[in-house]
Amino acid sequence: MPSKKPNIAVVYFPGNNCEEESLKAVLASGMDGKIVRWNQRKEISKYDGFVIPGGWGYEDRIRAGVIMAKDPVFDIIKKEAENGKPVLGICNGAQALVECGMIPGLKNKAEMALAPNKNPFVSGYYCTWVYVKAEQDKDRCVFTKFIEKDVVIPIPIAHGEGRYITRDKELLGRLIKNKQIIFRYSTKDGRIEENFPTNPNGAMYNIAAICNKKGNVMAIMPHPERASFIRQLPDTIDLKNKSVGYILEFEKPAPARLIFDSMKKYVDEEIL
Amino acid sequence: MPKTIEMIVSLKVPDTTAITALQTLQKLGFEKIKEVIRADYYKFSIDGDEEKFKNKISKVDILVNANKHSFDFSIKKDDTTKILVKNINEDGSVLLSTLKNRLGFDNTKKVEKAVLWSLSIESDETEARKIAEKAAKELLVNEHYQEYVIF
Repeated sequence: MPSKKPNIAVVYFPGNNCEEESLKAVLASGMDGKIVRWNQRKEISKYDGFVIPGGWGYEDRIRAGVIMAKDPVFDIIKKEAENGKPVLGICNGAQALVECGMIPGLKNKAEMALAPNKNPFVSGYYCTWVYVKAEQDKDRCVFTKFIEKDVVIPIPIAHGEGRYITRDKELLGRLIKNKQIIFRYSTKDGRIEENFPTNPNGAMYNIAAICNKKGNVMAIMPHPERASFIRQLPDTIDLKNKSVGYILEFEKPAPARLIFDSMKKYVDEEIL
Repeated sequence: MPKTIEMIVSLKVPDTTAITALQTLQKLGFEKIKEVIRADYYKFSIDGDEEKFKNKISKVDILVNANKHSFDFSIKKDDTTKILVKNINEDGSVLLSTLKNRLGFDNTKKVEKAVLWSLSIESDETEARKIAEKAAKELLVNEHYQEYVIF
């Protein structure tokens, strides 16, 4: 057992707005952490892992995540990821990881896009609760060490550009073959239905999260940090319903917390 | 036969997106790019009177806000190199539905929307085109869901 706790940098870019919840989820999983600004580059390498939170980095100017992706801090994060440190990009953070080529990370350039949602009812930004199903065995990715294959997790989405898409006709096949697709949008009972509302943004293959080949970098469009405590779940979820009237139950972990717990386990075992 | 009308809408106030694009391009090594101007580009296919349409469309608040936008019905011919970026498979149906159903543009058949980037590049035309192409690929366009033309 390592003598110290993993120390995680929640890397904040101007315009992000999920850094506080992300840090809370990190701390709740038993890690230490700090919100580190994008321009505090000198100290960033000392951290054991990174969370790139959601929001509107640089107001999504030009397109979501692209200005963040060109920031010099990503050169350092890339290097640290190559050394094995975990990197979790959530929503806007996921968009930046895709734009900078860390995800899927096969060619060191943007191999896909998180394009504007395709939704039959709502144009642009869409915010709702969905379900995602774990697609791989739990040891495939750093962030699913506690999540068995086929487990379904309730989790919210909140984005206007979350549709994984690529023009590379062979890429999807490679991602499937490499087992890089970690979560897919599903029904509550785990059925993959490609249409709305199960697939809330029209993502190819119902993709909600992809990891790099090594498994230590993951881009996830839904927000695990907003589904890490039972109190955060909507009343329609059984787990929340069962806790009504028991205030202490509300502070207990919800299933998406396992993503952060998994990060801790990996850092404990492989980085510290 | 439907008529085609182009409309270019740009900001009168400082455009933070264009400023960020310029700064980012320069940080990426595009020193020869001296200025970036961004505008929204619309292409309408309409039946009926062209002048009436132009007069009405320029007063629709969802496309032009007179307090902060200026507009034109043709792309200005100047020394800049232009990149027109359009999302692939975006058919403009949401905007078309708003124009037809809410704002009374019954004669509008089709709408296309794009972003027009105008780059002032310190070089001859051939090199400027090459630089614009590189800038598009490195920053202004994600070819997995967007397409572009340079002119």
